[in-house]
Amino acid sequence: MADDRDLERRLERMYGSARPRADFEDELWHRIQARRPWPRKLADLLRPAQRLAPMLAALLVLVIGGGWLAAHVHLGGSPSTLSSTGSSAGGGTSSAGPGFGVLPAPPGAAKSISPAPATAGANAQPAEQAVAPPYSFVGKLPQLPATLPVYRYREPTAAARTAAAGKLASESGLRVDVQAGRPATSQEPQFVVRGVEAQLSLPTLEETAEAFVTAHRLTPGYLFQVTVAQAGQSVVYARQFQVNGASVPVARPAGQVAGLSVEVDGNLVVGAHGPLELPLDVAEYPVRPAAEALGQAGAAAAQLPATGSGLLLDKAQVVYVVVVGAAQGYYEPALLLTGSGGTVLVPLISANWLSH
Amino acid sequence: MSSRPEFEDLYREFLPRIYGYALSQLRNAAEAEDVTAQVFMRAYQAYDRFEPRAATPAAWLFRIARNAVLDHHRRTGVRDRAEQELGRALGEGEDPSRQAEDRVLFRELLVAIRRLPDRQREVIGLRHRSDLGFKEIGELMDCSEDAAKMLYHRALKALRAELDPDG
Repeated sequence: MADDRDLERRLERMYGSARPRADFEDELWHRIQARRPWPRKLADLLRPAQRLAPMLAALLVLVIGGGWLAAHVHLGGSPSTLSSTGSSAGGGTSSAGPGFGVLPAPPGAAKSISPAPATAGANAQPAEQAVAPPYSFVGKLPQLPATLPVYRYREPTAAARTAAAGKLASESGLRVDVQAGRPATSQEPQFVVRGVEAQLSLPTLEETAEAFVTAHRLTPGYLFQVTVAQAGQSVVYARQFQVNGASVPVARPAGQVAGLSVEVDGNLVVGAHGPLELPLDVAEYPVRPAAEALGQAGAAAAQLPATGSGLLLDKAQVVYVVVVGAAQGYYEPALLLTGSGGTVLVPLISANWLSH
Repeated sequence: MSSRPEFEDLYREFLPRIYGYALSQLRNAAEAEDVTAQVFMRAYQAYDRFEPRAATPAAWLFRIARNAVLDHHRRTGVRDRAEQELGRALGEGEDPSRQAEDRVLFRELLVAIRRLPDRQREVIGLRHRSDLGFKEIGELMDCSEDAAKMLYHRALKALRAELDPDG
């Protein structure tokens, strides 16, 4: 059986490492796009306009309403003059709200907001709180500020990915591919080191990974914490953001930490992949109280397959989750609820600023 | 909740997995790329008919992939024993440039998989990095869940023997 497990691990790594040549993915996608029937091409052309329609409608109402006010009311510098609120830290300067406008919701997050449980009360009460039965949360909610930063990156083009792969390859001396962001798995653009089998005789997984990362100049430029993944086969340089003096990790929707991952098999480093380091814009967004997010977790949990004993959530943690859009992606704050048999991710951004 | 994902999301997520499956079922990277392209062309044309409540995206795409691989075998006429013989020849004296084209770790393992009998090779390819359970694999291969499990364990044993004939 141990032999089978070892062989299965090798098979997983072999299938996990299989990739077509670097340009194949984009070339095939262009071929697929070229074969679209014309009604679908037209629909795809109109899709951005459909997505923007609610915002355009709101903007139109503002413009018409503003025009009507200007024509009929003497504003005289009163506090009701339209906003320069929502300080846009390095982002865009939309007068309609926070810097990046309405954000895409994280994949797999609950879409409907159920009322917060009556017992939830104020933030940070170390209380036992019941969420929508048969699921329950027992634990302490984190105290949240009124706003939290959202980080935005531009999705690199195919040419930029190729250039980034070349740069990483020349710096590291390794074969490197760079992949586009993946909306379905909530992954930002990643670099993947190919065909490596580096023998390093060091006593721990962390030291082995560190020696590899240092030797190949792959040490992340972002804030990170080194951790060994549960399977005990990879060392993760888990990415974090510094927010109000606290370190907030980046997590995948299923709850795993995200960052540079070095796969180690005994003394052998057999692979590495991690987020491509891209310039980030930042903008502050209003967040809702943790109790309201907890109420939504009840709605999210109810969508999971019911288990015999129900889902017991006992830990709540603020994390950042990657939300990949068409031309750009975001690191958005979310509440990660974990417990026996399940994980629930709830967006923390105020619902007014999330698209559904 | 079984909403329909955007086709591009499926494409980006499953392309390496379908390619990996094809690579292990066919003779080289060029054939694997051809078949992978056919899979996603067919999937794109049929996507309007894909019903997420009836099958997971993984089951749907791997069914198309399996059919494409079988079509490829039919077209090229490379089947059964003939292909196994060819697999041995490839494994023993292959052109190093072709080895580089495969772009995969553990190349000797890949060559050993290609030497397995058809159904054993298939079950190994469908099991790893596919998101498929044995029930879905059984449905794809027209057998029961238990039969799929048994076939898989036989395939592992055969693969160990291929990798270590003296072991």
